[in-house]
Amino acid sequence: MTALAQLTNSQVPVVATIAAANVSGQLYRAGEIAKNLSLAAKNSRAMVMRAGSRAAGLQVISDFFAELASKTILLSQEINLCAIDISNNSVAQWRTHTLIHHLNTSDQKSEQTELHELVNSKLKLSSQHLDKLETQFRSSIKLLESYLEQIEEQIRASNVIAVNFRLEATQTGEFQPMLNHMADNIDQLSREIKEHISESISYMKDLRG
Amino acid sequence: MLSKKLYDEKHQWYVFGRDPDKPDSIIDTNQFMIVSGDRAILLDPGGIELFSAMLASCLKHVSVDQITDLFASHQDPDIISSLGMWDQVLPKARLHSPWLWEGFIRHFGMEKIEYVPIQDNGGSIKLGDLDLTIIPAHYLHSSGNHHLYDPIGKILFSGDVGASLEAPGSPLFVDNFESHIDKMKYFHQRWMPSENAKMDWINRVRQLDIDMMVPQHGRLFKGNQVTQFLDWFQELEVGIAIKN
Repeated sequence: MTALAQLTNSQVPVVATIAAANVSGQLYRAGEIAKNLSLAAKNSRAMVMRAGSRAAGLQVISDFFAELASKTILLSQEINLCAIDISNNSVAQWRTHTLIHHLNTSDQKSEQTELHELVNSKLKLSSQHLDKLETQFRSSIKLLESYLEQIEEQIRASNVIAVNFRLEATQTGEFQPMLNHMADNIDQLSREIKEHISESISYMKDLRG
Repeated sequence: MLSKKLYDEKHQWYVFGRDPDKPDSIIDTNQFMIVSGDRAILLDPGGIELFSAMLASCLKHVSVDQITDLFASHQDPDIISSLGMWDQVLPKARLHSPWLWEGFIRHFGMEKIEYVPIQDNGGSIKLGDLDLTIIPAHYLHSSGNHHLYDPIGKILFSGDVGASLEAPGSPLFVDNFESHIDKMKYFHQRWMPSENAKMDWINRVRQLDIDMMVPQHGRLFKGNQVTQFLDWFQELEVGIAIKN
């Protein structure tokens, strides 16, 4: 069996297509939660303003959460585009594999020299196309990995900041219960985002093949 | 690809479409997904060119294992030419489609998915706790053709009936019925061949309680627009390629 014929049996593009769609789906959900996080950050900022000088330390923290939310929304959109590129690429590879399979079958069934030459030239073109797709695929995977690392890093920082938020809230007297409640909300949303990011990262092994 | 929730009670309806990355030369289509419990069905899942965008859109809302059923109203490529790909991704799924087209639809590539033939008089599809009613729509435009009605959500998926041909990025819902007529007229007159078929369908659909009618192309109809559509369609001359 030729190397090209072996490629036709590959399930790699199928698995990669599903994995890329899953990454896109998880990041879409993370982006939707980040919109709620943005709202929670705005609410906390309003509360901090009301609490006045006693909550001065919280100003920076709620700004951080607002920034975290907008960065997460932006990054999730970038990741979504990147995942769609990967998904399109996987489908193109999948279709090229199928074409190669059919060309090979056709070649085996025919004894005509003319058809044999035609099939061989098409096989060569398809193989070149596949190489190009694989190169693009690898570069998109690298980009996706770097986006996921960035977003993971941001979310990791949010855990530390949430602890500080609670500490600072103790200085705010009657505002403390409400600020604690907001901290819980922000904490919960960050945790949910983190879960979707972790889930996305778990699909990367399917993409790397 | 645009992804919007149309209905959200015990079960959900989603529409996917208006894909900005779709090649301009292929007709724009609406794809629908109904989610009931841990199961989901895709209605007219679309052509092969849309497959990756469609899969990614579905997985925003459900996991791949939740997609247990596909419904193809008829055999056209914009309805189901992606079948060969879904067959690899959803090996345990069932495809509900007119019995008439089984041998034809299998040409799109179907080794693993189970073909569930729909008889001419329709039937039903059970999706979790939800019973969906299959409404015969033969010759509108295909000779073996069905639509799907959700009696709880009061939504009719009407395939090519109610379809409109519009510029890319047009709104999702009909805003003004009268001004929408121009976008539907030729499509219905040219693609729909039979006066008898048209009246048979209208009589069936008038008996249903419908809040939303969602075709496979163009804008969706809400509330009173459904009756406006039925009245307009009833008066419309169809099959014009022969008559003219």
